Amino acid sequence: MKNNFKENKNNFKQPLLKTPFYEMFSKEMTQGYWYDWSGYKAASIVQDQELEYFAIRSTASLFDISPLIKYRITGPDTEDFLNKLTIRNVGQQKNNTVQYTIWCDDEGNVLDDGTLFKFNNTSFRLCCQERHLPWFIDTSSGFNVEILEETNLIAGLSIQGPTSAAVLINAGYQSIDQLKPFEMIKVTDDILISRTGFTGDLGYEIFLPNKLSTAVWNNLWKAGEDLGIRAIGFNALNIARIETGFIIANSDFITSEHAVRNNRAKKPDEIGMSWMVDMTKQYFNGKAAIQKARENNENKFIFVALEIDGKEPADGAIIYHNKDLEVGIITAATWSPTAKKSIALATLKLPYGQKIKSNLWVEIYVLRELEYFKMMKKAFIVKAPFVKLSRRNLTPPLRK
Amino acid sequence: MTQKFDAIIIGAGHNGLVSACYLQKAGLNVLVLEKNDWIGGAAVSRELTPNILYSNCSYVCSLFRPEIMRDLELPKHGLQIIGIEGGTVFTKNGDYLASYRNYHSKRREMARFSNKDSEAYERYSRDVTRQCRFIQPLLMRTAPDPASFKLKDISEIFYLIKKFNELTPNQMAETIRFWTMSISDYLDEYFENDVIKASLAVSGIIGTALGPMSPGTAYVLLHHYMGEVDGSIGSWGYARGGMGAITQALSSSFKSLGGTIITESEVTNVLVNNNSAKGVALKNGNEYYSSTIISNADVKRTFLKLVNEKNLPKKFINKVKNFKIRGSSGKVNIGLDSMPEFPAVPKGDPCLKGDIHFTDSIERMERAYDDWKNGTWSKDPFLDMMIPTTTDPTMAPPGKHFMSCFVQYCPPKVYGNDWTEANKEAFGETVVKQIEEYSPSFREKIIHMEIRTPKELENEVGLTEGNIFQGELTFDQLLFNRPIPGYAQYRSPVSGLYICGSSTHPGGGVMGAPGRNAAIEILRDLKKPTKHARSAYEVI
Amino acid sequence: MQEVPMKSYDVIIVGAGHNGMAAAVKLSKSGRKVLLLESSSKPGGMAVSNEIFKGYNTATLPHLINHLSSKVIKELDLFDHGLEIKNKIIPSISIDQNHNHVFLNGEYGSNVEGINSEDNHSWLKLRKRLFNQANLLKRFISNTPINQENISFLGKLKFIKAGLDLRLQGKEEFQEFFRMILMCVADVLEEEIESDLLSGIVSFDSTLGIRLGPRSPTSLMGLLYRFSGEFNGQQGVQIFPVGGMEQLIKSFYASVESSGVTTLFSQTVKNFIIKDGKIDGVITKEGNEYKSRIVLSSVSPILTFLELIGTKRLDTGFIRELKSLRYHGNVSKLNLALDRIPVFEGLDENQLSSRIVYAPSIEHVEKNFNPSKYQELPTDPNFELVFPNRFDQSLAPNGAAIASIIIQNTPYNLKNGWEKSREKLQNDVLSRLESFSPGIKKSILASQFLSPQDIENSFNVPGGHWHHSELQIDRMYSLRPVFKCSNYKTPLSGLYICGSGTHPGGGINGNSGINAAKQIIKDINN
Repeated sequence: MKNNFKENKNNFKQPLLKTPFYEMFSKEMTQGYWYDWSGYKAASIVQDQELEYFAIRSTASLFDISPLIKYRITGPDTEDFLNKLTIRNVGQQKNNTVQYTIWCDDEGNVLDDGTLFKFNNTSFRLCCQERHLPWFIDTSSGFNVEILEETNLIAGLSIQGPTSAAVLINAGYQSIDQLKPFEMIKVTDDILISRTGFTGDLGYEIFLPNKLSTAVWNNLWKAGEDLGIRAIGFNALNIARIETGFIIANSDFITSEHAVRNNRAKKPDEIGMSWMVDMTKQYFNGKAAIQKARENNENKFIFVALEIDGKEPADGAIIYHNKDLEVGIITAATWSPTAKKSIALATLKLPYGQKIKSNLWVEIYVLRELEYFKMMKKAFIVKAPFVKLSRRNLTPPLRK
Repeated sequence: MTQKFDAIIIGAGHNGLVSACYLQKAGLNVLVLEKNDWIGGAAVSRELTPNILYSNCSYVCSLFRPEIMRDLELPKHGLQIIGIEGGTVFTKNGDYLASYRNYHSKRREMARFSNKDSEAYERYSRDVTRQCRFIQPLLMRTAPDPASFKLKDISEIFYLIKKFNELTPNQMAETIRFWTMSISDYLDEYFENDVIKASLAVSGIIGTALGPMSPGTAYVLLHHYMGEVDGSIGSWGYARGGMGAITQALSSSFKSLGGTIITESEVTNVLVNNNSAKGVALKNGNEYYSSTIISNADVKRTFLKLVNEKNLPKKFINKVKNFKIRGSSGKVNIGLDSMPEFPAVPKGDPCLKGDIHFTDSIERMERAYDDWKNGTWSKDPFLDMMIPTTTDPTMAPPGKHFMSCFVQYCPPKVYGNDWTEANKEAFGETVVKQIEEYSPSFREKIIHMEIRTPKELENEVGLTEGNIFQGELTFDQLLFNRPIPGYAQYRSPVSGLYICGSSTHPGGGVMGAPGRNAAIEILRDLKKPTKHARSAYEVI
Repeated sequence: MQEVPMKSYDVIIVGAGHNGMAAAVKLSKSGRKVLLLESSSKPGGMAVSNEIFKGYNTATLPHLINHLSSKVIKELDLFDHGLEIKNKIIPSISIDQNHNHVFLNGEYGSNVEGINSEDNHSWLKLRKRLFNQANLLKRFISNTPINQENISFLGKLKFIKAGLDLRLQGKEEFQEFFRMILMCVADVLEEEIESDLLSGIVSFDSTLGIRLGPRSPTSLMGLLYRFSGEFNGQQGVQIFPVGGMEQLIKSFYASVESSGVTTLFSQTVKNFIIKDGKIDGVITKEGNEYKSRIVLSSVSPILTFLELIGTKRLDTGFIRELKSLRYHGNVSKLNLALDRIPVFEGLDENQLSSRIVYAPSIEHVEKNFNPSKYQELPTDPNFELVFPNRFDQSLAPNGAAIASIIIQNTPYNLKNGWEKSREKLQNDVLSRLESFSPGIKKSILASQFLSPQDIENSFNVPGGHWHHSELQIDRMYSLRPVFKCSNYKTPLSGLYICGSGTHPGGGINGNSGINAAKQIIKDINN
């Protein structure tokens, strides 16, 4: 195991590290809203949240994804190892594609979700929110694999929006023209581009060695000058991801190694990921527990998408049945500028959300000039995504 | 001179003063008698060399219950606890493992030693947090007597069963294992790196006569983790003005409620008549009378020295004799001319503002314990060293420092003989030498040094064998077993005689809970209100 | 010797140790078609005997019985299958360099010679209390522990019932139980006993076979566990069967044969066949495949899970738990063939029919334990010695002797390695023996030494631990081997485990085999 932190003794001086794109973002940054993403400084807002959102939905946005935790997994048993680790079938994943996936503990509770990049059956990259080295190493017992955390070796940039393909082609990465969603391609020896993203829009993610960060940034910035390119922060991205119904670990669900209290850890079925569980696989970690919970109806929660009356965002609100019985909580909510609705992602206690789907209410408190407006708003269970864009899947992609 | 009080407390330690405050607040006229010319017991700040205040016994605070601080308005009486910034373990090979308040700095520092361990720490702290959440609510409750058929005891046992039942089956299994394991085995289940394990094992041994490989030390770890500073569970802090600030605030609170403290009044005898406490007799010949006597002294000192044997059942006396109070630690307190340099650490590193250790493996800790079992002080001792003046400059003139070295292991007798001056010097030298290895110019900076072996701790503070917890924290002496089965509710065979020190549940550390719990039991016996003692803050 | 085996069975049992055999009989009697597979050429597992020199037969490892469960004797009709016990209670001697030996006669020292009357009084009082406490634990020892399936109210009722029963014995006993249960044996002894030799042997017996010293908290449990053993209503006794330990195993195997179990020797299970997440049989190294929907493994949990199933097929949390098992042994065995009957100063020849323990004081035992913490050997090891042919003369030629010696605190991993240390350890033990019995060294015709590493290799027990894994309180009862498997079931559907690694643990008792068989029968019937 390579230890990437060995040399730095001055850890007290720099609690938050700078990503390779830090300088570029700070140049654009007019207000200085940084937040802590896995120990890195990441932008919440670069200049203006609304304008950044519209860059995602109408032009091209650049978001720094370098803080994603990245593992490189290689070796002859890599595919078998990943088939034990994750709940989807890695054997069926084609080379040079990306799979959204989940891994669970023995009780079938979700440890994290992430994206799995398959180069070939002996080489993968796994990107996720939390660190999992102990779990991966302990899971790899008996498998001939090598696991390297490469978070601080590989920089990442997400370019999303209708003109994102045009920007990339302008920048000289013509080969992305043939990329279908969830496919990836090496545009140079060092630069990998995948057609993935967290926005539900046309978009790409670029992975590159740290040393190329300035060159790639300058290249894209220049190529995007006339295509409305804009550096964005997480706040804008968050609106787009809620519109698409994407979840975030330790925000929309608690990862099982962080859950101190009982009943906080959740199974894939309880966070809306039933479709992902591949029960035809011979074995994977947690399979027996997930199967048992299904057979004995032991799942306690369901994850739903809600449309809510009115226009006030309902973050963290309690959900009631018939206005009096608490049945759940909203984990993410926003006004959707594209759908023109108040939307939310929520966890409901069964049977609400499954057998009982109507008569749901959301209690929203809005503070205005030191007085609360308390509202009970009707909520409707809908099917995510709230915003469905045909350009997301078109190949070759739109160029404008 | 004779005078009558509603209650007399023997010893002005923190638990005695906490009890005194709660009783006085309930309308009793309370007298506290202290043998020394200073108050505070083991929570003191003393000017042992001009202008430098020494926390010469206890030296950090975390366990003191926030509910008590609030009930007794201690902040109003000058108490302030400041969180500690860091900590470090120096390694033999010239490196160091620092610990910081910031999550990422701390994790990356651990990753220098083991990337895997730096992440395993997440799961470890989750599991220890679970144990803390289970134990915390029990601290501020009188332990039930499982042998009793009284309604109160039975309902309290049901409370414990209910608490236990709230755990999932797996957590129950984990909890039972945790209570019976050694800290070394426990850490092995999470970590691979020796230095990281050694840094975490510290809390499993401090104050006990056990090594990190002894079963039961995982619980001791919990005992050091279940405290808090302003809601941050497991954090430790300095009392501004030294540990004496805690007892000074208590004493000020007590006096403002109308209570009386008399110092230089050593109690030699508890007066008993007809199996009831009547008062106390002092060394100076004075007697004070009250039908409620509360001893802040440990259980052995109280029942083997202060109460005449004939007033106690023989069986009880035997059990008191069998109570394990083992001196296992010493203290070297040093006044420094300037801040010592530790060349291994970068300039400005806050890790020197907290606990500094030089024991970089569990094996070294355990070997230090072997020396103690052998009857002598550790030749390669474990030091828990702190320089509080780095955080609280009020304790010394600018630039000068007070350094507290808690030393383990140090026996109450050397190979069965009393400590000699030469032994004491040699013990101090062992400590200075160890520090010198990591701070070459250290010796030159020493202005004054106080060496305290268990003998001094016993003679000056009154702690039997110099044990800082007034009794080992092993399962046979916890909860309803502390100090003695059947007498775990602060009462004694003599009606009206109570104990309120760390010998009682929930045990040692500057916690105040034993004093508060004892006061509640006393007020119940006296049929007085107890509403002014708030119940424990809920753990959510 | 055996008919051509059918390839498909109701239950396959891996390992013909005493637990495997007990389970085989129980299952076979319930009408199941049982196949018992053993990797060596004879039954007995770690309880086998061998001929160390022509005409000298001795138990390779354990040389006495102290826990054989009456339940097992009954289930297997051992007395009808050749088990015979004549010399029922074997006394113990704590030997002293100055020949002032202490003799523990009767049921673990119901009558002690060599201590003063005050000690005698205190000892009898303490012994009574400990026996009483052991009796309370006994009801938990022979049966299946509380487990995931019955942890609810009904499971806990057992504890509440035990608590009430204890309380009815009086407040004092109740309180002392909860005070003492997790104490170290040294503290308990020092509260009551003055004699170093008596305290020494009791300390030794409390910690024998586990990695604790007498000053380690919870070490009293080892003694209580020993006291929970009984034979014919006699508590805490050691016994020796006619014909030696070999005869005990023979009676087990005779019972197996008469119950219609198919036993195959020299069949080493290589791995399990797993189909649709369930067990479907076993494959042997010899290339045979045997089908069964139920497999009961009596080999060590580490071997069963980490090797026979393999970590690839086990959930990671479970692997973590298994890897946390402390399965490295701490005991070595030395067997000697002597050309004459040795002479011990202060003992007459009859008194050699005892268990002789060298553990002169608590301090001595504790100091012996210290180096083992750091993978080092003690310089003056404590040991237990018996002369098996004193109990049954047929085991050695007339006028000769076998010495069977268990050496404590000899860790599996040594910093210096066993190759460099084995000679020295044997010499240290022999020198100490020589000091008690001058000339004994010269009378040695042959010797057999097994370190924990040798035990691992000879008996296929990873770590060479006599109990398969540490028998300390954090791994007892429901926590043995791990909580998930405390009802002998495993996360792999159809696979069950028994053996010393499961509740109630070590010693030759057979309870776990019976309990596991019961669980299987219950599950089949459901």
